[in-house]
Amino acid sequence: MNRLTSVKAGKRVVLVSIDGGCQAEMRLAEMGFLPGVEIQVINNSGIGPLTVIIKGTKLALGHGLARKILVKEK
Amino acid sequence: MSERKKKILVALAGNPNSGKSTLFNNLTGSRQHIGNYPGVTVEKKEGRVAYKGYEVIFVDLPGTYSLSARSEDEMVARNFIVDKSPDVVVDVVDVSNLERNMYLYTQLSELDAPVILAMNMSDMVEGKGYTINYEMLSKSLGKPVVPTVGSKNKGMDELLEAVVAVYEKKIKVGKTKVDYGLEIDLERSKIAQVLSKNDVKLKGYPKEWLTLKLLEKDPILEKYIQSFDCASEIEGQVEKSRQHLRQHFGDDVEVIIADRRYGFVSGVCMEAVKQIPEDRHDVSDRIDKVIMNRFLGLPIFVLVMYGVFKFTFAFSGPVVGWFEKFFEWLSLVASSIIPEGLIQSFVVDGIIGGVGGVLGFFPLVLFMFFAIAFFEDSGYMARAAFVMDRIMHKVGLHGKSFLPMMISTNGCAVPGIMATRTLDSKKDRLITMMVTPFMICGAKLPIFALFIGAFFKPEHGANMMFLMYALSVLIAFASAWVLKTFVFKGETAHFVMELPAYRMPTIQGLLLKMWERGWLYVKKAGSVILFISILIWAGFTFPQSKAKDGVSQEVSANVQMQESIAGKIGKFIEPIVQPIGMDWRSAIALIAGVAAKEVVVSTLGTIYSLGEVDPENAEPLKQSLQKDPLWSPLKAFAFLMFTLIYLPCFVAMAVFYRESGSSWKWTSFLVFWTTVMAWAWAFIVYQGGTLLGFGG
Repeated sequence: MNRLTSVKAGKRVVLVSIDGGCQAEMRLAEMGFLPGVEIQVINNSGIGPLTVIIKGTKLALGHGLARKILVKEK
Repeated sequence: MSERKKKILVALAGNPNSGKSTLFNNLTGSRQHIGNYPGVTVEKKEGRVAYKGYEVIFVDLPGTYSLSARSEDEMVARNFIVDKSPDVVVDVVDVSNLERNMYLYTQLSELDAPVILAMNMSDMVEGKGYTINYEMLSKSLGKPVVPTVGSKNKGMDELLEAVVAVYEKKIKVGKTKVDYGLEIDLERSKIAQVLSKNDVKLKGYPKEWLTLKLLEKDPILEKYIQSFDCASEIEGQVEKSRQHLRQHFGDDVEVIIADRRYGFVSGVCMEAVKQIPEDRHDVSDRIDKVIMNRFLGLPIFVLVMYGVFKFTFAFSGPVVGWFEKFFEWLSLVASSIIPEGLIQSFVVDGIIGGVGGVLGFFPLVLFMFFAIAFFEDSGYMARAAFVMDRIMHKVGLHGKSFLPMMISTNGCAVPGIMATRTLDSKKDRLITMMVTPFMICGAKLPIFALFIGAFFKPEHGANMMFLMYALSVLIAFASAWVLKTFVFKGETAHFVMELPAYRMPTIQGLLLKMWERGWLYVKKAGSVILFISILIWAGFTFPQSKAKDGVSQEVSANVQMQESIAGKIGKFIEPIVQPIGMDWRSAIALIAGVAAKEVVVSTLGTIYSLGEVDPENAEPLKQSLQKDPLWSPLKAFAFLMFTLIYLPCFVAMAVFYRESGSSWKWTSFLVFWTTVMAWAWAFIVYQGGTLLGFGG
């Protein structure tokens, strides 16, 4: 299992869970960040925000938030 | 004939970027009342259209992804649907992004709202080789479905037809609901039992929905519940249910509920949609690779903004010149028609000198609005927020806070402050609200254009403007840092933000936006600015001093101004503003400018017009400023620095007060903070500049 921040650009991964105690968990769930959903990482410079495609939408994701998203290889 | 038309109240709901506003404009045409201006609530637009003997009232709700009411904009949308119970709710769905858009639908239908689905941008689908079976969609949802193309004005009649049909109950709106599964339903029924045992009813909220929302720990409902005697009993049951479900599913209830909703949506889509292609982000991706590149992103944004100012100054220059000439001619005509005396002075100095000075910059404002509207409509602004995120993290905010600041630049701080409603964190919201008014809004623009035009070479106009803009951003960031470090301590919140696919803006859309915002500028000049100009003129004209013999007209005009009420007030304050390079006249202009920032220009216009004796030689304000020995480029710069930072205008302060939760504490803090900062910076610029030998 990896954190989303460590996924290289261009890769597709599957969401496993979101670290507990995260205020934004509900917001993320509403945007489609749910267990089993595929996430395509478009841009990840290692620092700063990431861009991902999830459920057909391109999203910008703050770095701190992306760190809390646990994913696995597809 | 006198029979009054029956009204149908229709709410337009939908995600951000779903094309809701375009649809709204198409439907209501020129009859719309746009609320996007100071003094009127910006939260929702309202427009009317007559159709089939009905008066259909459309209310454009804020674009949201959900109705969870965890941010202010969601609360506004949800409260409208619950409190006003509209006859019809049109859910605008971007079909090229069907699944995500339908998430909001699941929540609308849970509220038992009579929903019609407007499948917008349906032309996007046809070109991409996949089809949506609208009939099947309608059948499985039990709701009318109307395909529309907002940008091409297609499907509007069909939509209105459906609205009327639903209103007349010719079409039945069915109830298909998300299946949350046995386990969740069981817990909901336990909560329902507690509710009915204690006879808890909340107006407008269906009971089934209540149980679901309580399970989700909805912040508004939790507050409502507090007013009941049995609050602790309800909370106890909710906590028990949540714990049970967490154990059962191994995940938070909120996540399970969101999962079920998406499950429902994808089930429906699977039936009705054939083959969703995956490559629709191709072109956007390629552009984003460059624009959002970690090294190129920021320079590109800087270039874009520089381009905006270059464009604005290059094209508006000549037109502003014509406007100046026109008002010059107008005062000449007025002085030749009206005999010398108070009435002539009222018209020439008060009205034309004041309001004319502001209206002269109308073309500049238009060009600026046009240029920024281009980037707004293209989808670039979300990218700019992304690019700024890294810097904004350093000052304790995140990229999303940059959007309200851009809204303020392209128009007015009032919608900018309102736009902070999309921020989830209260602290972030307050900080963003405090720094948004620093941006150069449409009303401050003429002040900058006037002084830059008067004291700097025309070819440097755009550069100076850009410099001032960059300064405004820097000051906003610096303030945010100070506020975050010393006042609102706490962790920086994180953000999720959609990056909509790029769209080529339509000329029609750009012109409409430019005109909407530009027209407000003219309207304001003809109302508030006119009114205050008259007050200012009267302030400088009364009480009339006795004409002294043996002094020139010019001297006596100046004596009159200094001995008037306004003059005396200005003289009284002068000692405070002298260290920052200003005199009593600029002090009056700045104070009056709190009413509305354009008033700074109109007041100076009146002052210089009153000081001029020979109407034949009347000259534009710009030249009067240039010739006045009391001004210098350094003083002008210090003056602009002060203008940039000091008090937001009255309306912006009122909106700040309301949006800060009617907090006198924060509103007075804003007043104190901006005034002190403005004085300090102007002092540094003026005294520092003088020391370095830039004075004189």
